Amino acid sequence: MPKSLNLTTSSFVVHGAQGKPILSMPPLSISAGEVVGVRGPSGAGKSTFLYALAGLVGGVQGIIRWGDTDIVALNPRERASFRARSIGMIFQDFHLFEELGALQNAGIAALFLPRPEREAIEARADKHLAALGIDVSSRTIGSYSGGERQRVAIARALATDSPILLADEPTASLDRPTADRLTDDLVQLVRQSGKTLITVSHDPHFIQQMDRVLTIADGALCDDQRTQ
Amino acid sequence: MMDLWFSLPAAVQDSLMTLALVMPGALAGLYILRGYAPWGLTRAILLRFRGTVAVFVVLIAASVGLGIALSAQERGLRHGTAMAADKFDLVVAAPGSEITAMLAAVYLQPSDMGLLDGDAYNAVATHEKVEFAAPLAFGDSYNSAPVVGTTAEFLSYLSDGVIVGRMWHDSEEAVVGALVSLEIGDTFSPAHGEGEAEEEDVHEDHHLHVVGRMAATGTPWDRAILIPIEAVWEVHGLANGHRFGAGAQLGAPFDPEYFPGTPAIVVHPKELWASYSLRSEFTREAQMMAFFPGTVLASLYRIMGDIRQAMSFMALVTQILVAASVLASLFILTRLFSRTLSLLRAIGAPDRFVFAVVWSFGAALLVAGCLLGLGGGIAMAAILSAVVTARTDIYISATLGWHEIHFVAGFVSAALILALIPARLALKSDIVASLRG
Repeated sequence: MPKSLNLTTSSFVVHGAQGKPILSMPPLSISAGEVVGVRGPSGAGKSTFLYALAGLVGGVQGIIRWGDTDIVALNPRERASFRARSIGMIFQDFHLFEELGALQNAGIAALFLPRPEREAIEARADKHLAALGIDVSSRTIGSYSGGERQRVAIARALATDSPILLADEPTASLDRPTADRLTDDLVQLVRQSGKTLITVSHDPHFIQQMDRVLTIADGALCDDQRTQ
Repeated sequence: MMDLWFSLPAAVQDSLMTLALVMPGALAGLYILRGYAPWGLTRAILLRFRGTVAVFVVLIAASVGLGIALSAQERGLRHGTAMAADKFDLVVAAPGSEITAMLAAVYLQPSDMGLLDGDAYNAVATHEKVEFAAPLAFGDSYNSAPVVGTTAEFLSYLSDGVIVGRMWHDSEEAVVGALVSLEIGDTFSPAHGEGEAEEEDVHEDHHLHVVGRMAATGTPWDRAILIPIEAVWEVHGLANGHRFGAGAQLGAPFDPEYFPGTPAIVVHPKELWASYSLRSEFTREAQMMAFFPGTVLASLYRIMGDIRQAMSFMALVTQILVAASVLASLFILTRLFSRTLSLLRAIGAPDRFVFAVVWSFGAALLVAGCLLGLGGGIAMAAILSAVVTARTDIYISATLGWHEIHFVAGFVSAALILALIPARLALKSDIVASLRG
């Protein structure tokens, strides 16, 4: 079981390229194991919020603390290291390597994490692919359907046994039935493993399954609602 | 330290030099790749852009291959021309250009030369330090093959005594070079002159019979028809070098009074060390000059050496330009997979790993290009050698030498270090912007 990390933030501001604030958030607290949805209109700042939590955007003023680690205070190398061990990322466009197989994609972190950890990463990638119903064959990822690709991307996020999963519109590129099946499987996996999931989504079916829903509009939090 | 270096065998020195040249690039690679296993990913990226990758590899290979082929060819040419002159220890000719005399006597290139008279020949041939002195007579040809008059002694020396058939016994017999299209038993009439100046009907009453074929020598003499020098003189209506009543004597000694003249004498000294004193003795102002073809070649090589250096420099500059364009293109190419690199950085891959992926991608292109270029260069050199051999009859063998190996090793090493630049630049992109495409 991965180490649980609570998220606590001060009020924080993200500045854009021209130095103007593009997102301004009040203090937040998300407990380890919570399943949180982030919704709002396009361009409202949802993805910026998610990437700020991952330490992927610059120009952040404030505190974003995962457990004892303030990701804003870390330098780029330390942030990358923190992400590698603590955060699994899932993207709308999957971002997989077309010429690699499902297992190689899911276990990609084995290429750069220390040698002693590689075997465990590959074993977890294999296990999660099986749990998500992905046939690990010699096929390259190019021959998989959209739903299968996103499942491989989920297995990749889970392979490092990170306590946090951050997902940006994970079902937006999928058809309805595929998106529904993926939502159910992802939420179930997260709940079983006790990980924290924060996902940006426009998908009502996905949002419905969250413990808590944050609504962001015009670069600010306008609602924080617990659903269960 | 220098003493130790110079005490090492040449092959060890060359191997160490190769190692020293490769070392900077290899060390850079080891430092970048330590602890990581990026090759699976690098292979995937290479496969994704296989068309573009193939173009780059071919471009690098062509540039490296040309450099290698030119260098190997130039060395092969020097070696081949030197080998062709190997049997010509000392040549004596009428005063004039040593180069012209060497081209005529050694490489059988037609040229106008003055003649040495019987006294001059006699002085050379009867010298106590001379093993034999073979007069040469040029000017006739048959089907573009030069007909050269000389002595049986020189023919045996030239062919190391290996003749299929037999040596001539009279002035109507000939021995042909290994590449001459005449067969043993054939009869021919030499034409007067060579090349464009050939006049076919002048000697049509003189028939010569082929009685032997020399073993291949790898020199222009392989395409020559050798006949007794007496035959050349007789065909031209001159005395045949022997007093009337001397019977059908062939070869030395010649009677100075009946010696019609020779444009060149090939001298073989009894001892090699005697060559220098013979050269001095046979260099007589207004009468004759003596020279070592090897020395004349060496001075030609010195001139060629300057050209070679200029060519090597140009080849190097071309290669640097190609490497620079490849690296610039590599940078552009990394933009194509910047999303891939951003994904790696987003999921926590250290910058050094991303750097290692881009660098190994560039390194794979450069090393593949260089290896292909090495093979291509050897093939190109072999083709060029075959063409030059066919045109000059000088056997040219252009093989891969240490110079080319050092050249490739240095190029690979420098390119591997230069490939750090696009790898560093690839890390400058904004992760989120790249991921959003």
